[in-house]
Amino acid sequence: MLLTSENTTRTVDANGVLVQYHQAVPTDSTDAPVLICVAATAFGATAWGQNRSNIDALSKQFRTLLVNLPPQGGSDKKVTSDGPRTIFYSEVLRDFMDALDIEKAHFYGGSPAAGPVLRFATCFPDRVGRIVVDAPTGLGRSMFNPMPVEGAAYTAAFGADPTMERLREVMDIQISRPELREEAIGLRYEAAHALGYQEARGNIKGPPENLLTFIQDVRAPTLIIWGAADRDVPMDRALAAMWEMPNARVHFFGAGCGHWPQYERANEWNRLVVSFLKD
Amino acid sequence: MPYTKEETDRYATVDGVELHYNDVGSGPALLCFHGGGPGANAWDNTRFNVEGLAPHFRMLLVDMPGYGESDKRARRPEGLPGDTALAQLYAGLMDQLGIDQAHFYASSASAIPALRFALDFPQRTGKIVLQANNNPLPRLAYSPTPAEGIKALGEFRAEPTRERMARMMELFVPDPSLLTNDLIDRRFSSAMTPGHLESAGQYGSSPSHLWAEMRGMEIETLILWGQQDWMVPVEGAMLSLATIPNSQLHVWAGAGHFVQYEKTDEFNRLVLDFLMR
Repeated sequence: MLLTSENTTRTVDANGVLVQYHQAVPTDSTDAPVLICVAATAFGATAWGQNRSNIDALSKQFRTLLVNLPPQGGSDKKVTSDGPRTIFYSEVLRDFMDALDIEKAHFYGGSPAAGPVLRFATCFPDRVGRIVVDAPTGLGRSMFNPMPVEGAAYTAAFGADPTMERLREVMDIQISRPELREEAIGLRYEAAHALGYQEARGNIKGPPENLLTFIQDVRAPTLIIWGAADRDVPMDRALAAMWEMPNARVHFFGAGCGHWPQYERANEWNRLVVSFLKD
Repeated sequence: MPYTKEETDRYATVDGVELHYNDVGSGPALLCFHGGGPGANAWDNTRFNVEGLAPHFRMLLVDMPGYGESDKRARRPEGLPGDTALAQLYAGLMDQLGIDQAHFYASSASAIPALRFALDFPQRTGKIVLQANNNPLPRLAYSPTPAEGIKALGEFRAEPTRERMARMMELFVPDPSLLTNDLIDRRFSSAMTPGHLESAGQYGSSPSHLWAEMRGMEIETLILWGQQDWMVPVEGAMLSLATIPNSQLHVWAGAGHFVQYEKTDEFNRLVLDFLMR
Protein backbone atom coordinates (compact mmCIF):
# COMPACT_ATOMS: atom_id res chain seq x y z
CA MET A 1 0.00 0.00 0.00
CA LEU A 2 1.21 3.44 -0.86
CA LEU A 3 1.84 5.32 2.35
CA THR A 4 0.40 8.81 2.42
CA SER A 5 0.15 11.48 5.05
CA GLU A 6 -3.59 10.83 5.23
CA ASN A 7 -3.60 7.05 5.51
CA THR A 8 -0.90 6.99 8.17
CA THR A 9 -2.06 9.81 10.41
CA ARG A 10 -3.27 9.18 13.94
CA THR A 11 -3.75 11.09 17.16
CA VAL A 12 -3.37 10.14 20.78
CA ASP A 13 -4.04 11.84 24.09
CA ALA A 14 -0.67 11.91 25.81
CA ASN A 15 -1.48 12.79 29.41
CA GLY A 16 -3.73 15.65 28.32
CA VAL A 17 -1.63 16.75 25.34
CA LEU A 18 -2.92 15.94 21.88
CA VAL A 19 -0.16 14.37 19.77
CA GLN A 20 -0.65 13.81 16.05
CA TYR A 21 1.65 11.30 14.42
CA HIS A 22 2.02 9.01 11.43
CA GLN A 23 2.41 5.27 11.82
CA ALA A 24 3.63 2.63 9.40
CA VAL A 25 4.49 -0.93 10.36
CA PRO A 26 6.25 -3.88 8.74
CA THR A 27 3.72 -6.09 7.01
CA ASP A 28 5.45 -9.31 8.01
CA SER A 29 6.04 -8.68 11.69
CA THR A 30 3.83 -7.87 14.63
CA ASP A 31 6.58 -7.22 17.17
CA ALA A 32 9.05 -5.08 15.21
CA PRO A 33 11.19 -2.68 17.24
CA VAL A 34 9.77 0.83 17.51
CA LEU A 35 11.40 3.84 15.88
CA ILE A 36 10.15 7.28 16.89
CA CYS A 37 11.08 10.05 14.43
CA VAL A 38 10.58 13.41 16.06
CA ALA A 39 9.88 16.27 13.68
CA ALA A 40 11.74 19.55 13.80
CA THR A 41 9.87 22.38 15.50
CA ALA A 42 10.87 25.03 12.96
CA PHE A 43 8.12 27.29 11.60
CA GLY A 44 5.84 25.11 9.48
CA ALA A 45 7.94 21.96 9.82
CA THR A 46 5.96 18.73 10.05
CA ALA A 47 6.66 15.08 10.60
CA TRP A 48 5.41 14.12 7.15
CA GLY A 49 7.38 16.93 5.51
CA GLN A 50 10.52 15.80 7.28
CA ASN A 51 10.45 12.02 6.81
CA ARG A 52 8.14 11.26 3.89
CA SER A 53 11.16 10.00 1.89
CA ASN A 54 12.15 7.69 4.70
CA ILE A 55 8.95 6.16 6.05
CA ASP A 56 8.73 3.44 3.39
CA ALA A 57 12.25 2.14 4.00
CA LEU A 58 12.13 2.57 7.77
CA SER A 59 8.77 0.89 8.20
CA LYS A 60 9.99 -2.26 6.46
CA GLN A 61 12.15 -2.82 9.53
CA PHE A 62 10.54 -0.88 12.36
CA ARG A 63 7.18 0.12 13.66
CA THR A 64 7.82 3.70 12.58
CA LEU A 65 6.13 6.67 14.25
CA LEU A 66 6.63 10.18 12.86
CA VAL A 67 5.71 12.54 15.66
CA ASN A 68 4.66 16.19 15.61
CA LEU A 69 5.52 17.93 18.85
CA PRO A 70 3.06 20.64 19.95
CA PRO A 71 2.10 22.89 18.27
CA GLN A 72 3.44 21.43 14.99
CA GLY A 73 1.26 19.69 12.42
CA GLY A 74 -1.96 18.39 13.93
CA SER A 75 -0.63 18.36 17.49
CA ASP A 76 -1.88 20.31 20.48
CA LYS A 77 -2.47 24.05 20.00
CA LYS A 78 -3.38 24.80 23.61
CA VAL A 79 -0.60 23.41 25.79
CA THR A 80 1.97 25.98 26.91
CA SER A 81 5.39 25.80 28.51
CA ASP A 82 7.92 28.34 29.76
CA GLY A 83 10.59 25.92 30.96
CA PRO A 84 13.49 24.46 28.99
CA ARG A 85 12.03 23.17 25.74
CA THR A 86 13.99 19.97 25.58
CA ILE A 87 12.72 18.95 29.01
CA PHE A 88 9.12 19.83 28.17
CA TYR A 89 9.35 17.87 24.93
CA SER A 90 11.04 14.94 26.67
CA GLU A 91 8.04 14.69 28.96
CA VAL A 92 5.64 14.88 26.03
CA LEU A 93 7.56 12.05 24.36
CA ARG A 94 7.46 9.96 27.53
CA ASP A 95 3.71 10.53 27.83
CA PHE A 96 3.31 9.69 24.16
CA MET A 97 5.13 6.39 24.66
CA ASP A 98 3.08 5.63 27.78
CA ALA A 99 -0.15 6.36 25.95
CA LEU A 100 0.79 3.90 23.20
CA ASP A 101 2.18 1.38 25.68
CA ILE A 102 5.66 1.56 24.18
CA GLU A 103 8.34 0.67 26.68
CA LYS A 104 11.44 1.33 24.59
CA ALA A 105 12.21 2.79 21.15
CA HIS A 106 14.93 3.95 18.84
CA PHE A 107 14.82 7.69 18.21
CA TYR A 108 15.49 10.03 15.34
CA GLY A 109 15.46 13.81 15.50
CA GLY A 110 16.51 16.37 12.91
CA SER A 111 17.87 19.87 13.53
CA PRO A 112 15.82 21.45 16.39
CA ALA A 113 14.32 18.02 17.19
CA ALA A 114 17.75 16.59 17.96
CA GLY A 115 17.85 18.46 21.28
CA PRO A 116 14.61 16.91 22.60
CA VAL A 117 15.75 13.44 21.52
CA LEU A 118 19.17 13.75 23.16
CA ARG A 119 17.62 15.22 26.30
CA PHE A 120 15.06 12.42 26.41
CA ALA A 121 17.95 9.96 26.36
CA THR A 122 19.44 11.57 29.46
CA CYS A 123 16.09 11.78 31.32
CA PHE A 124 14.75 8.32 30.41
CA PRO A 125 17.78 6.25 29.43
CA ASP A 126 16.01 2.92 29.88
CA ARG A 127 13.47 3.79 27.23
CA VAL A 128 15.98 4.48 24.44
CA GLY A 129 17.65 1.98 22.13
CA ARG A 130 19.75 3.83 19.60
CA ILE A 131 19.68 7.42 18.42
CA VAL A 132 20.08 9.08 15.04
CA VAL A 133 20.21 12.85 14.70
CA ASP A 134 20.64 15.10 11.67
CA ALA A 135 22.54 18.40 12.00
CA PRO A 136 21.49 19.25 15.57
CA THR A 137 20.92 22.90 16.40
CA GLY A 138 22.16 24.09 19.79
CA LEU A 139 25.75 22.85 19.70
CA GLY A 140 27.26 26.31 19.98
CA ARG A 141 29.14 28.53 17.60
CA SER A 142 31.18 27.40 14.64
CA MET A 143 34.95 27.49 14.97
CA PHE A 144 35.34 28.41 11.32
CA ASN A 145 32.29 30.26 10.01
CA PRO A 146 30.90 33.67 10.79
CA MET A 147 27.94 33.52 13.15
CA PRO A 148 25.02 33.70 13.06
CA VAL A 149 24.77 31.22 10.20
CA GLU A 150 23.54 32.30 6.81
CA GLY A 151 20.20 30.56 7.28
CA ALA A 152 19.33 32.33 10.55
CA ALA A 153 18.27 35.64 9.06
CA TYR A 154 16.09 33.97 6.41
CA THR A 155 14.43 31.76 8.98
CA ALA A 156 13.73 34.77 11.19
CA ALA A 157 12.39 36.74 8.22
CA PHE A 158 10.00 33.90 7.30
CA GLY A 159 8.85 33.68 10.91
CA ALA A 160 8.00 37.38 10.94
CA ASP A 161 6.43 37.42 7.48
CA PRO A 162 5.45 33.92 6.38
CA THR A 163 5.07 34.50 2.67
CA MET A 164 5.96 32.09 -0.12
CA GLU A 165 8.84 34.38 -1.13
CA ARG A 166 10.39 34.33 2.34
CA LEU A 167 9.93 30.57 2.55
CA ARG A 168 11.64 30.12 -0.80
CA GLU A 169 14.66 31.99 0.56
CA VAL A 170 14.79 29.64 3.54
CA MET A 171 14.64 26.53 1.37
CA ASP A 172 17.22 27.89 -1.07
CA ILE A 173 19.60 27.98 1.90
CA GLN A 174 18.57 24.68 3.47
CA ILE A 175 18.23 22.33 0.49
CA SER A 176 21.23 22.12 -1.74
CA ARG A 177 19.70 20.83 -4.99
CA PRO A 178 17.13 23.20 -6.53
CA GLU A 179 15.00 20.40 -7.99
CA LEU A 180 14.26 19.09 -4.50
CA ARG A 181 12.99 22.36 -3.09
CA GLU A 182 9.51 22.77 -4.57
CA GLU A 183 7.81 19.90 -2.82
CA ALA A 184 9.34 20.86 0.52
CA ILE A 185 8.23 24.44 0.04
CA GLY A 186 4.66 23.41 -0.72
CA LEU A 187 4.33 21.20 2.34
CA ARG A 188 5.86 23.72 4.68
CA TYR A 189 3.83 26.64 3.39
CA GLU A 190 0.63 24.71 3.86
CA ALA A 191 1.55 23.73 7.42
CA ALA A 192 2.68 27.24 8.29
CA HIS A 193 -0.76 28.52 7.31
CA ALA A 194 -2.84 25.74 8.81
CA LEU A 195 -5.77 26.84 10.95
CA GLY A 196 -4.64 27.93 14.41
CA TYR A 197 -0.97 27.17 13.91
CA GLN A 198 0.46 30.68 13.88
CA GLU A 199 -1.55 31.67 16.94
CA ALA A 200 -0.14 28.67 18.83
CA ARG A 201 3.39 29.17 17.56
CA GLY A 202 4.54 30.99 20.71
CA ASN A 203 3.01 28.50 23.16
CA ILE A 204 6.23 26.63 23.83
CA LYS A 205 8.62 29.36 24.90
CA GLY A 206 11.74 28.46 26.82
CA PRO A 207 15.17 29.93 26.15
CA PRO A 208 17.63 28.42 23.64
CA GLU A 209 19.60 25.58 25.20
CA ASN A 210 23.20 24.52 24.66
CA LEU A 211 23.22 20.78 24.06
CA LEU A 212 26.89 20.60 25.01
CA THR A 213 25.82 21.02 28.65
CA PHE A 214 24.02 17.66 28.81
CA ILE A 215 24.95 15.33 25.95
CA GLN A 216 27.78 13.86 28.05
CA ASP A 217 25.04 11.91 29.79
CA VAL A 218 23.72 10.25 26.63
CA ARG A 219 24.65 6.58 26.89
CA ALA A 220 22.77 5.30 23.85
CA PRO A 221 24.85 4.63 20.73
CA THR A 222 24.33 7.69 18.57
CA LEU A 223 24.73 8.35 14.85
CA ILE A 224 25.05 12.01 13.87
CA ILE A 225 24.45 12.77 10.19
CA TRP A 226 25.43 16.00 8.48
CA GLY A 227 25.63 17.49 4.99
CA ALA A 228 28.85 19.27 4.11
CA ALA A 229 26.89 22.00 2.33
CA ASP A 230 24.79 22.79 5.40
CA ARG A 231 24.27 26.56 5.59
CA ASP A 232 21.92 26.37 8.56
CA VAL A 233 23.96 24.55 11.21
CA PRO A 234 27.77 24.59 10.92
CA MET A 235 29.17 21.12 10.35
CA ASP A 236 32.22 21.49 12.57
CA ARG A 237 29.84 21.21 15.54
CA ALA A 238 29.64 17.51 14.79
CA LEU A 239 33.19 17.09 16.00
CA ALA A 240 32.46 19.18 19.10
CA ALA A 241 29.49 16.94 19.91
CA MET A 242 31.55 13.79 19.43
CA TRP A 243 34.13 14.84 21.99
CA GLU A 244 31.29 14.88 24.52
CA MET A 245 29.74 11.61 23.37
CA PRO A 246 32.11 8.63 23.52
CA ASN A 247 29.50 6.40 21.89
CA ALA A 248 28.94 8.59 18.84
CA ARG A 249 29.87 8.42 15.22
CA VAL A 250 29.32 11.05 12.54
CA HIS A 251 28.50 10.49 8.90
CA PHE A 252 29.07 13.45 6.58
CA PHE A 253 27.58 13.53 3.11
CA GLY A 254 29.93 15.54 0.93
CA ALA A 255 29.40 18.65 -1.12
CA GLY A 256 25.93 18.85 -2.58
CA CYS A 257 24.13 17.84 0.60
CA GLY A 258 22.63 20.62 2.67
CA HIS A 259 20.60 20.76 5.86
CA TRP A 260 18.20 17.93 4.93
CA PRO A 261 20.30 14.78 4.46
CA GLN A 262 17.28 12.55 5.17
CA TYR A 263 15.59 14.07 2.13
CA GLU A 264 18.48 15.14 -0.10
CA ARG A 265 20.25 11.78 0.16
CA ALA A 266 17.22 9.68 1.09
CA ASN A 267 18.33 6.30 -0.29
CA GLU A 268 21.78 6.39 1.27
CA TRP A 269 20.40 7.87 4.47
CA ASN A 270 17.80 5.11 4.76
CA ARG A 271 20.38 2.37 4.37
CA LEU A 272 22.80 4.00 6.76
CA VAL A 273 20.14 4.50 9.42
CA VAL A 274 18.57 1.05 9.10
CA SER A 275 21.99 -0.57 9.25
CA PHE A 276 22.94 1.42 12.34
CA LEU A 277 19.68 0.86 14.17
CA LYS A 278 19.68 -2.86 13.49
CA ASP A 279 23.20 -3.30 14.87
CA MET B 1 34.47 -21.12 7.11
CA PRO B 2 37.44 -19.20 8.45
CA TYR B 3 39.89 -17.96 5.86
CA THR B 4 43.58 -18.44 6.63
CA LYS B 5 46.62 -16.59 5.41
CA GLU B 6 48.46 -19.76 4.42
CA GLU B 7 45.66 -21.05 2.22
CA THR B 8 45.33 -17.75 0.43
CA ASP B 9 49.00 -16.76 -0.01
CA ARG B 10 49.80 -15.97 -3.65
CA TYR B 11 52.75 -14.43 -5.47
CA ALA B 12 53.11 -12.55 -8.74
CA THR B 13 55.93 -10.76 -10.51
CA VAL B 14 54.88 -7.45 -12.03
CA ASP B 15 57.40 -5.37 -14.00
CA GLY B 16 60.17 -7.31 -12.26
CA VAL B 17 58.75 -6.64 -8.79
CA GLU B 18 57.78 -9.68 -6.72
CA LEU B 19 54.48 -9.07 -5.00
CA HIS B 20 52.89 -11.15 -2.28
CA TYR B 21 49.15 -11.02 -1.85
CA ASN B 22 46.30 -12.94 -0.32
CA ASP B 23 43.48 -13.90 -2.63
CA VAL B 24 40.42 -14.33 -0.45
CA GLY B 25 36.75 -14.84 -1.25
CA SER B 26 34.81 -14.40 -4.44
CA GLY B 27 32.80 -11.73 -6.19
CA PRO B 28 33.78 -8.34 -7.60
CA ALA B 29 37.46 -7.55 -6.97
CA LEU B 30 38.35 -5.44 -3.93
CA LEU B 31 42.03 -4.52 -3.75
CA CYS B 32 43.13 -3.83 -0.17
CA PHE B 33 46.24 -1.88 0.73
CA HIS B 34 47.94 -1.37 4.08
CA GLY B 35 49.54 1.77 5.48
CA GLY B 36 53.15 2.87 5.29
CA GLY B 37 54.43 2.57 8.87
CA PRO B 38 57.12 0.07 9.87
CA GLY B 39 55.81 -3.48 10.09
CA ALA B 40 52.65 -2.81 8.11
CA ASN B 41 51.49 -5.61 5.83
CA ALA B 42 48.36 -6.52 3.98
CA TRP B 43 47.19 -9.56 5.94
CA ASP B 44 47.69 -8.02 9.38
CA ASN B 45 45.97 -4.83 8.27
CA THR B 46 42.86 -6.40 6.80
CA ARG B 47 42.57 -9.85 8.40
CA PHE B 48 39.88 -8.62 10.83
CA ASN B 49 37.60 -7.78 7.94
CA VAL B 50 38.06 -10.86 5.81
CA GLU B 51 35.28 -12.85 7.44
CA GLY B 52 32.78 -10.02 6.89
CA LEU B 53 33.79 -8.96 3.39
CA ALA B 54 35.17 -12.05 1.62
CA PRO B 55 31.74 -13.68 1.20
CA HIS B 56 30.88 -10.73 -1.06
CA PHE B 57 34.15 -9.78 -2.74
CA ARG B 58 37.27 -11.28 -4.15
CA MET B 59 39.60 -9.50 -1.74
CA LEU B 60 43.18 -9.09 -2.83
CA LEU B 61 45.30 -8.06 0.14
CA VAL B 62 48.49 -6.79 -1.44
CA ASP B 63 51.82 -6.23 0.30
CA MET B 64 53.44 -3.09 -1.09
CA PRO B 65 57.03 -3.38 -2.33
CA GLY B 66 59.32 -3.36 0.71
CA TYR B 67 56.54 -4.60 3.03
CA GLY B 68 55.35 -7.99 4.28
CA GLU B 69 56.45 -10.73 1.93
CA SER B 70 56.80 -8.51 -1.13
CA ASP B 71 60.06 -7.59 -2.80
CA LYS B 72 62.64 -5.92 -0.54
CA ARG B 73 64.98 -5.16 -3.44
CA ALA B 74 62.48 -3.34 -5.62
CA ARG B 75 63.41 0.22 -6.42
CA ARG B 76 61.17 2.94 -7.73
CA PRO B 77 61.84 3.43 -11.45
CA GLU B 78 63.98 6.47 -12.13
CA GLY B 79 61.97 9.58 -12.88
CA LEU B 80 58.63 8.09 -11.88
CA PRO B 81 56.82 9.50 -8.81
CA GLY B 82 56.13 6.84 -6.18
CA ASP B 83 52.35 7.06 -6.47
CA THR B 84 52.48 6.70 -10.27
CA ALA B 85 54.85 3.74 -10.03
CA LEU B 86 52.56 1.99 -7.55
CA ALA B 87 49.45 2.70 -9.62
CA GLN B 88 51.18 1.05 -12.59
CA LEU B 89 52.08 -1.95 -10.44
CA TYR B 90 48.43 -2.29 -9.40
CA ALA B 91 47.33 -2.15 -13.03
CA GLY B 92 49.93 -4.78 -13.95
CA LEU B 93 48.77 -7.07 -11.15
CA MET B 94 45.15 -6.68 -12.23
CA ASP B 95 46.18 -7.55 -15.82
CA GLN B 96 47.83 -10.75 -14.65
CA LEU B 97 44.80 -11.74 -12.63
CA GLY B 98 42.41 -10.93 -15.45
CA ILE B 99 40.69 -8.22 -13.41
CA ASP B 100 39.34 -5.41 -15.53
CA GLN B 101 37.90 -3.24 -12.78
CA ALA B 102 38.26 -3.25 -8.99
CA HIS B 103 37.11 -1.47 -5.89
CA PHE B 104 39.88 -0.14 -3.66
CA TYR B 105 40.32 -0.09 0.08
CA ALA B 106 43.39 1.92 0.99
CA SER B 107 44.57 2.67 4.48
CA SER B 108 46.68 5.68 5.43
CA ALA B 109 49.70 6.15 3.12
CA SER B 110 48.30 3.81 0.46
CA ALA B 111 45.46 6.23 -0.18
CA ILE B 112 47.67 8.42 -2.35
CA PRO B 113 48.57 5.68 -4.87
CA ALA B 114 44.95 4.48 -4.82
CA LEU B 115 43.74 7.95 -5.74
CA ARG B 116 46.49 8.13 -8.36
CA PHE B 117 45.21 4.86 -9.80
CA ALA B 118 41.69 6.29 -9.92
CA LEU B 119 42.95 9.34 -11.80
CA ASP B 120 45.17 7.41 -14.23
CA PHE B 121 42.85 4.41 -14.75
CA PRO B 122 39.32 5.72 -14.12
CA GLN B 123 37.68 2.98 -16.22
CA ARG B 124 39.32 0.34 -14.07
CA THR B 125 38.27 1.88 -10.76
CA GLY B 126 35.01 0.93 -9.07
CA LYS B 127 34.50 2.72 -5.78
CA ILE B 128 37.13 3.77 -3.26
CA VAL B 129 37.23 3.34 0.50
CA LEU B 130 39.91 5.40 2.20
CA GLN B 131 40.88 5.05 5.83
CA ALA B 132 42.70 7.79 7.74
CA ASN B 133 44.35 8.70 4.49
CA ASN B 134 47.36 10.83 4.00
CA ASN B 135 46.23 14.33 3.36
CA PRO B 136 45.69 15.04 -0.34
CA LEU B 137 46.51 18.67 0.41
CA PRO B 138 50.07 19.86 1.03
CA ARG B 139 49.50 20.16 4.77
CA LEU B 140 47.04 20.56 7.62
CA ALA B 141 46.18 23.94 9.10
CA TYR B 142 45.48 23.26 12.78
CA SER B 143 47.55 20.20 13.57
CA PRO B 144 51.24 20.37 14.45
CA THR B 145 53.40 18.55 11.91
CA PRO B 146 54.70 15.90 12.22
CA ALA B 147 51.88 14.41 14.28
CA GLU B 148 52.78 12.73 17.54
CA GLY B 149 52.25 9.28 16.03
CA ILE B 150 54.40 10.03 13.00
CA LYS B 151 57.21 11.01 15.35
CA ALA B 152 56.86 7.64 17.06
CA LEU B 153 57.24 5.89 13.70
CA GLY B 154 60.49 7.77 13.18
CA GLU B 155 61.71 6.89 16.65
CA PHE B 156 61.06 3.24 15.98
CA ARG B 157 62.90 3.36 12.66
CA ALA B 158 65.87 5.01 14.37
CA GLU B 159 66.02 2.31 17.04
CA PRO B 160 63.69 -0.61 16.35
CA THR B 161 63.01 -2.08 19.79
CA ARG B 162 59.85 -3.79 20.98
CA GLU B 163 59.42 -1.02 23.51
CA ARG B 164 59.35 1.61 20.80
CA MET B 165 56.97 -0.55 18.78
CA ALA B 166 54.66 -0.74 21.79
CA ARG B 167 54.70 3.05 22.06
CA MET B 168 54.00 3.37 18.34
CA MET B 169 51.09 0.95 18.61
CA GLU B 170 49.62 2.85 21.57
CA LEU B 171 49.32 5.77 19.21
CA PHE B 172 47.74 3.63 16.49
CA VAL B 173 45.14 2.09 18.81
CA PRO B 174 44.24 4.50 21.65
CA ASP B 175 41.85 2.16 23.49
CA PRO B 176 44.12 0.08 25.78
CA SER B 177 41.56 -2.73 25.89
CA LEU B 178 41.99 -3.22 22.13
CA LEU B 179 45.78 -3.02 22.07
CA THR B 180 46.79 -6.64 22.64
CA ASN B 181 50.29 -8.00 23.02
CA ASP B 182 49.60 -10.15 20.00
CA LEU B 183 48.96 -7.04 17.92
CA ILE B 184 52.26 -5.50 19.06
CA ASP B 185 54.25 -8.73 18.64
CA ARG B 186 52.98 -9.37 15.12
CA ARG B 187 53.72 -5.84 14.03
CA PHE B 188 57.17 -5.96 15.64
CA SER B 189 57.98 -9.25 14.01
CA SER B 190 56.84 -7.95 10.62
CA ALA B 191 58.92 -4.79 11.09
CA MET B 192 62.02 -6.90 11.77
CA THR B 193 61.68 -8.83 8.49
CA PRO B 194 65.14 -8.57 6.90
CA GLY B 195 65.34 -5.75 4.40
CA HIS B 196 61.99 -4.19 5.31
CA LEU B 197 63.06 -1.08 7.21
CA GLU B 198 65.72 -0.29 4.59
CA SER B 199 63.38 -0.58 1.62
CA ALA B 200 60.03 0.56 3.00
CA GLY B 201 60.50 4.15 1.91
CA GLN B 202 61.27 3.33 -1.71
CA TYR B 203 57.87 4.19 -3.11
CA GLY B 204 57.08 6.63 -0.34
CA SER B 205 56.28 10.28 -0.39
CA SER B 206 56.55 11.82 -3.78
CA PRO B 207 55.59 15.21 -5.09
CA SER B 208 51.89 15.03 -5.78
CA HIS B 209 49.30 17.48 -6.95
CA LEU B 210 46.42 15.17 -6.35
CA TRP B 211 44.23 17.80 -4.79
CA ALA B 212 44.22 19.83 -7.99
CA GLU B 213 43.81 16.85 -10.28
CA MET B 214 40.89 15.41 -8.33
CA ARG B 215 38.63 18.32 -9.12
CA GLY B 216 36.70 16.52 -11.84
CA MET B 217 36.87 13.04 -10.33
CA GLU B 218 33.49 11.32 -10.29
CA ILE B 219 34.40 8.07 -8.57
CA GLU B 220 32.46 7.57 -5.36
CA THR B 221 34.66 7.64 -2.27
CA LEU B 222 33.92 6.70 1.32
CA ILE B 223 36.36 8.11 3.88
CA LEU B 224 36.63 6.44 7.31
CA TRP B 225 38.34 7.94 10.34
CA GLY B 226 38.78 7.87 14.11
CA GLN B 227 38.45 11.14 15.99
CA GLN B 228 41.33 10.09 18.24
CA ASP B 229 43.79 9.48 15.40
CA TRP B 230 47.33 10.31 16.50
CA MET B 231 48.84 9.63 13.06
CA VAL B 232 46.68 11.72 10.77
CA PRO B 233 44.55 14.02 12.93
CA VAL B 234 40.84 14.19 12.16
CA GLU B 235 41.37 17.59 10.60
CA GLY B 236 42.68 15.58 7.65
CA ALA B 237 39.28 13.90 7.39
CA MET B 238 37.54 17.22 6.98
CA LEU B 239 40.03 18.38 4.36
CA SER B 240 39.67 15.09 2.50
CA LEU B 241 35.89 15.42 2.45
CA ALA B 242 36.28 18.90 1.02
CA THR B 243 38.96 17.89 -1.52
CA ILE B 244 37.65 14.58 -2.88
CA PRO B 245 34.64 15.52 -5.00
CA ASN B 246 32.14 12.67 -4.69
CA SER B 247 32.90 11.71 -1.12
CA GLN B 248 31.28 11.02 2.20
CA LEU B 249 32.97 10.69 5.57
CA HIS B 250 32.33 8.57 8.63
CA VAL B 251 34.12 9.38 11.90
CA TRP B 252 33.98 7.40 15.14
CA ALA B 253 34.45 9.07 18.52
CA GLY B 254 37.29 7.54 20.51
CA ALA B 255 38.76 5.50 17.66
CA GLY B 256 42.31 5.82 16.35
CA HIS B 257 44.13 5.03 13.13
CA PHE B 258 42.98 1.39 12.81
CA VAL B 259 39.21 1.71 12.53
CA GLN B 260 39.06 -1.45 10.38
CA TYR B 261 40.13 -3.25 13.58
CA GLU B 262 38.81 -0.96 16.30
CA LYS B 263 35.31 -0.85 14.77
CA THR B 264 35.34 -4.08 12.78
CA ASP B 265 31.61 -4.77 12.59
CA GLU B 266 30.53 -1.24 11.82
CA PHE B 267 33.38 -0.87 9.36
CA ASN B 268 32.35 -4.02 7.52
CA ARG B 269 28.71 -3.02 7.35
CA LEU B 270 29.48 0.48 6.10
CA VAL B 271 31.91 -0.79 3.48
CA LEU B 272 29.54 -3.53 2.28
CA ASP B 273 26.67 -1.12 2.08
CA PHE B 274 28.72 1.45 0.22
CA LEU B 275 30.25 -0.97 -2.28
CA MET B 276 27.11 -3.02 -2.92
CA ARG B 277 24.50 -0.35 -3.45
